[in-house]
Amino acid sequence: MLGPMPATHPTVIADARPSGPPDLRGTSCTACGHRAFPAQDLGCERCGAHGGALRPAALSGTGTVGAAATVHRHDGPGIAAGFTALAVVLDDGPLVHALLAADAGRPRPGTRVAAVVAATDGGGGVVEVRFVPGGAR
Amino acid sequence: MKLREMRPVYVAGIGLHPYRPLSGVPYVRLGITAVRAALDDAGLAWPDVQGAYTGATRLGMAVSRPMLRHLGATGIPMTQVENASASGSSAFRLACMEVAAGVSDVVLAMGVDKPGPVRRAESLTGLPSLAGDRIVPFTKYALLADEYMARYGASPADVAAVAVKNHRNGARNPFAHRRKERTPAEVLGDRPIAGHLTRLQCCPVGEGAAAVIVVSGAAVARLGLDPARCVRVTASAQRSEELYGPKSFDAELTRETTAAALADAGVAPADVDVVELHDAFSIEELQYVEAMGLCGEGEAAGRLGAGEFDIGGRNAVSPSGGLLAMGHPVGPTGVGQVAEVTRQLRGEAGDRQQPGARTGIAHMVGVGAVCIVHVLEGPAR
Repeated sequence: MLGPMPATHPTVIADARPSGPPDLRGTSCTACGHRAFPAQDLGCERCGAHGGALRPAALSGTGTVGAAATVHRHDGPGIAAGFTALAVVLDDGPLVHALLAADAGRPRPGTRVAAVVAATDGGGGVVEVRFVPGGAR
Repeated sequence: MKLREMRPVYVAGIGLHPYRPLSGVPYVRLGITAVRAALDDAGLAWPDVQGAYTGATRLGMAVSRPMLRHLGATGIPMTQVENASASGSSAFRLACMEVAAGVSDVVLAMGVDKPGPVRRAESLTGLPSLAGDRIVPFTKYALLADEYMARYGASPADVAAVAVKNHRNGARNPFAHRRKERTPAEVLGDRPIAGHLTRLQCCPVGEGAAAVIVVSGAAVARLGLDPARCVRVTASAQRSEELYGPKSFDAELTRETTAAALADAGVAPADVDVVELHDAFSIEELQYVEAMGLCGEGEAAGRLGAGEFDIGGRNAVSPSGGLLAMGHPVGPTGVGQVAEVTRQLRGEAGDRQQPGARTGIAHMVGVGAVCIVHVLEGPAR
């Protein structure tokens, strides 16, 4: 029987800006130029460069909906169904799976969306984001 | 080196324990039922078997010997194989490699599993995501369904038609988890899970076992096996995910792995009579038949509606009922596919028989993602 997962501190995944959507904390590879979410120094998925070759990169929190699906049923502990999952192609390149903010409608593929802060860690670090329709390219 | 250029490899025996919801029956009984059936089917005895690979995902460590010792403790090498949904496919591939390489002449590939707690290593990488644990397989495939429908103008009914066909096939399969025909209205009107996917468009994950006996050409002659019931494995391809940009990685991975397998076997997509594919969710079949080259991009729904993927159609897709109806006990699934393709290529599939089937493929995707495709060629009939 698998035991409970060890407790972890929420990871800061984005940085709020004075105005507009928060920037997502991503990674840019100085060896091949590949940009990805999230921030990491384990190694570039495209070329394998690692450590200092990988630099933190602020990815724009704007993108285009590739797909949306409302989840009617979920067996995950503590996860209430009724949310809408999104596949978002960020303007900076990466495809991410994310969540739509509550009451934000039912965006069709092609809809422009932008991140909004959903939770912080108490020190101002953004640990959770949602997406809402809108956001200029 | 291509499998076809090594020692010829054949499937000589197949056996299954029916796939079904979780019961109190220990996995050992499920497994040895399938192995004994495969040995009987091949006309072999357990002491003829020189090695064993067991696909399993939720039974814990060291699955094989507590089960296989009840066939007789012959001391053969036994290895557990975990590769998510493709675990059974990997067990089969390893058995084929061992025989093709000349290490052994008779090897068991099997899968056995029961529902239970599972932890995905991806959750232990220490890297965050934007959606946490909320994105699970059915969520991801609901997103792919939305993207596919928007791109090609397909309707929810077009996607649900996959489940209608595969439930119809599963109703004729005595080993299937779901054995009831369903109308389009039943599939579309069933309990919603995510997006347009309903429960009947998501595979049941239960318990079961599947076994096949892999042999060399030398063993066919030495052990007096019936060549007319031995199905040759002409290609084995396995790949893992690359970077595909915003495209569906399952479809792209399927595209390149299937292309490699068919090229190794010297077979064109149009020559494939029988396909068992990873239809854990209805949308996958539409994406994969296109990625495999059985039809053009965006054509799958129309061709499905025209009956081209029915038993008796141009290519019979998931004549077993597929994961949607035969079921997806995970460890056994890939081996069960090989059993169905073998049955079809022998001409022994009864009222599920694809007429004149000569060439078949078995395809699985596993989270990670990995993809495994085998090509099998039937004996002259």
